[in-house]
Amino acid sequence: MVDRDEKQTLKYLSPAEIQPNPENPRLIFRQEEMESLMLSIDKHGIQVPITVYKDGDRYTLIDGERRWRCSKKLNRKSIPALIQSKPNELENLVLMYNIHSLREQWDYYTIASKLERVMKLWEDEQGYAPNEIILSELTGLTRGAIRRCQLLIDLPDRFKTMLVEELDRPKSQQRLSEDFFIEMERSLKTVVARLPEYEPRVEQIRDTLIAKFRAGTISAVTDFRQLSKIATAVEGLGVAQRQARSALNEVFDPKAKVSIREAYEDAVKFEYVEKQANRFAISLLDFIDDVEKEKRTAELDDDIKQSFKKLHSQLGRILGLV
Amino acid sequence: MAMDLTSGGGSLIDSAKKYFADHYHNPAMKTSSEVDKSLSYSPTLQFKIHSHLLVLVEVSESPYPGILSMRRTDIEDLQVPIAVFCACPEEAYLGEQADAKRLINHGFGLITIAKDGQAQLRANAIPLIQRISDAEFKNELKGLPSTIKRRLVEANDRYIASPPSGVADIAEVLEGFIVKAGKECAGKQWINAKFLKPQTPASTLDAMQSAAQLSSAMAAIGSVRGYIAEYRNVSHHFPRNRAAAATKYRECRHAFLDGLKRVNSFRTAMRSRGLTGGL
Repeated sequence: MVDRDEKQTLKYLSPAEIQPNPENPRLIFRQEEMESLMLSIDKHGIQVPITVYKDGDRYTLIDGERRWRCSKKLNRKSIPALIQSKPNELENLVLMYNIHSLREQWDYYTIASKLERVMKLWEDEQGYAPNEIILSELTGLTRGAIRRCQLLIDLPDRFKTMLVEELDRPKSQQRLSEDFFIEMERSLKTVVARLPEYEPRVEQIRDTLIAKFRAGTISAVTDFRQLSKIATAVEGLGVAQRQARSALNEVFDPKAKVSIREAYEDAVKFEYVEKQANRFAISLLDFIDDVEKEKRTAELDDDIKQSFKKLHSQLGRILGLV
Repeated sequence: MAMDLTSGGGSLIDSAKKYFADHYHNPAMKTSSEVDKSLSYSPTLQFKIHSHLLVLVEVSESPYPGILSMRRTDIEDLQVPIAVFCACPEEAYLGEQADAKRLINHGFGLITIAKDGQAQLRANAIPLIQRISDAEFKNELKGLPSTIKRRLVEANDRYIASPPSGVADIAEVLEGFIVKAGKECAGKQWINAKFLKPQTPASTLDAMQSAAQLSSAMAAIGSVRGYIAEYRNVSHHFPRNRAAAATKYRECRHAFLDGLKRVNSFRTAMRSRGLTGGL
């Protein structure tokens, strides 16, 4: 690898001499953040030089694409730039991650799109595939972020294209997001792990879920968590596989206008609420045990006694004791 | 796909290019390039409609991009007539109506682009140096009867489409006032009816200036006479170049506002002498 401590030269370059780095994992530049940077540059100039390397008769950006774009918009005659030697492809990518991703939150597709390449280049160079820890050290990303990226990397190409096309649109015209795909993929992984018979249909299921999301039948990306809960209810709550499968079949049926929420409420919501109530009941019993052990019954105030009386009477009715 | 300030602009730029190419019959368009060395702004698109009108288009994800509010005065100060459009997504226009309204009130044009790439004109752009704000125009109409207001709104519409025609139209409105006042003066035998020949407002005004009954209205009569002499045929002189065009647009703006003031002062002066001061 090139020694990064080697001497860099500072020069003032015309924005026209500079070109964006094709390997820049950052693909998304939003209006609001760009305008606020543009205002700052207009008022105070560029305080931190951009970093470039000489590439033929032009300079390629390593760091500073936002500053460069703003400078072009502001018709600035020159930009301060640190010029360093040309890095190899892996160095170039790793540099980008370390320069950019630590500075601010990137969109996941932005990161994922180049992470796959980093993994490949590392494997070519070192002879083995990098694990999450190595990737985290190389790129400065958290392991959670790498796992989320992996979900996007594993998407079939046509869904990746769909996502890129969506991200290329202005924000107000975007419907599908990285969060949508991350949540959908996570839930499908859970479903397939519990009910493997869905695996051969996953591609078609994705199409159905996307269509239902676009049509508003699935109203929020967080609804996919309920899809996972339907699948996990088979093991965790002892819900019959048939019941869970029937709910999932309705969600995965493109002709049935059944939302995830409806399926969740019909099939497993009661079981989840029941489980939660059981946890409350156990916690209440623990509390009563403690009160008795510590002989603090006399300290219980009137409100709690009143609630206990009501509970006693209702429990008696439910359990047929009264 | 063209590159601009934001990443989401590529498809918008393509649609905006197509719209303006269709609308203005394929003018040569420049992308993200300098307009003038002294202007710290490179618009997304720029093209000339004719030798002395430049159109700039800023493609943006919001209806009122920051750069347009930052550079509005600088654009006005250039010695070139420049009309500026914003092109934004239809959804942003519908969701940010207050900003869209502000943009249009500041003299910018607006086109919106739907998801399928179809562009729609929401407001036309006029050269910023000729622009008279709604508030400024309405202020000059205060106190006038509705018939006269309607006639002046018509003149303003002409001014927006072509500033010299708008100014010539104001001169025509003033001629209407002169004809009416002249007839009323002749009816009262303050002037001789032979001075009321059509298309000769100068002779009517000369006669009115000689009428003793109108001595207190001399200033208003004189100023209207000067105005008509100067601006009646203003649209017939086409500017030689962009700088001359800029001067002309600026002068037209001044003349249009001045004409509105003279309508008011002439009408008031005639009414003070017992005439109707109408059209």
